[in-house]
Amino acid sequence: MGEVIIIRDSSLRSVLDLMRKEGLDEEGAVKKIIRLGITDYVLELYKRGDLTVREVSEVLQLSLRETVELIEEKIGGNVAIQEQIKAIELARKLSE
Amino acid sequence: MKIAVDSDALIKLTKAGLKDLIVNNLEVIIPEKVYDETVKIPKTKGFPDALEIDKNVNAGKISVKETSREEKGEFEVVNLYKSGDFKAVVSDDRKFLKKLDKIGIPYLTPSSLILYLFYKRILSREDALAQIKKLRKYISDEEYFTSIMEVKKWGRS
Repeated sequence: MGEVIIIRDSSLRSVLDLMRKEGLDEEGAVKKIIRLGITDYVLELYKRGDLTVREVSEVLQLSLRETVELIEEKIGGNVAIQEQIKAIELARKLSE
Repeated sequence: MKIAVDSDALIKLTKAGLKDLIVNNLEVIIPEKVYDETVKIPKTKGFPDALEIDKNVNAGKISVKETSREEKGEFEVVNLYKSGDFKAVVSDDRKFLKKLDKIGIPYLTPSSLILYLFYKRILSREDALAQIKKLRKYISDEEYFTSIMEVKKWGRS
């Protein structure tokens, strides 16, 4: 027997209604919301530099190539200014 | 200049249309794991960049080297770097770059490769700016604007 989920939040109820119109039943809609939430959370950790691309792919159970695509679509890149400055300094040094 | 490139950076350079510029001017080596992740597996799923990378491998413009298989895939690039006369590891993954910094391995990002070609006078100022702009959607704002400003501050054309 599946777990009973009581939805009190009115906005969540509205989202579920929209998903129902897309042909998803309540369980399917809840699963989809959870999946989207997990993806956003994991991508946020990547953006902060707390996960590597490979770790994101492991958590989301995607291939590395699919993960790069997802990151491109949602974030772009995550290199911070301090890492980029170091890379630029090295590029300049190597060119001498 | 010999560089060890990870999967993320190689895919971004390919998608941005910069791979040929890089492989024609630098010695690009990848570990087998990177070949698997950028060519072998994506080819079966129809990613066009996988075919592009494979063309370079077949033409000998990208070399694939066998390394000891690590549980954490990114460390195959580190093992590759340690195995020869490499100048840097190329990646666009912040956590991995921080790890490299911690263990004292020099690194470059995709956009800093363009800057290297600019400093070497292989690219003019205008060409360097145009190439960095191609990377816009694949890199962070910090990486993009820092690179653009770096080119602009140099007086030469």
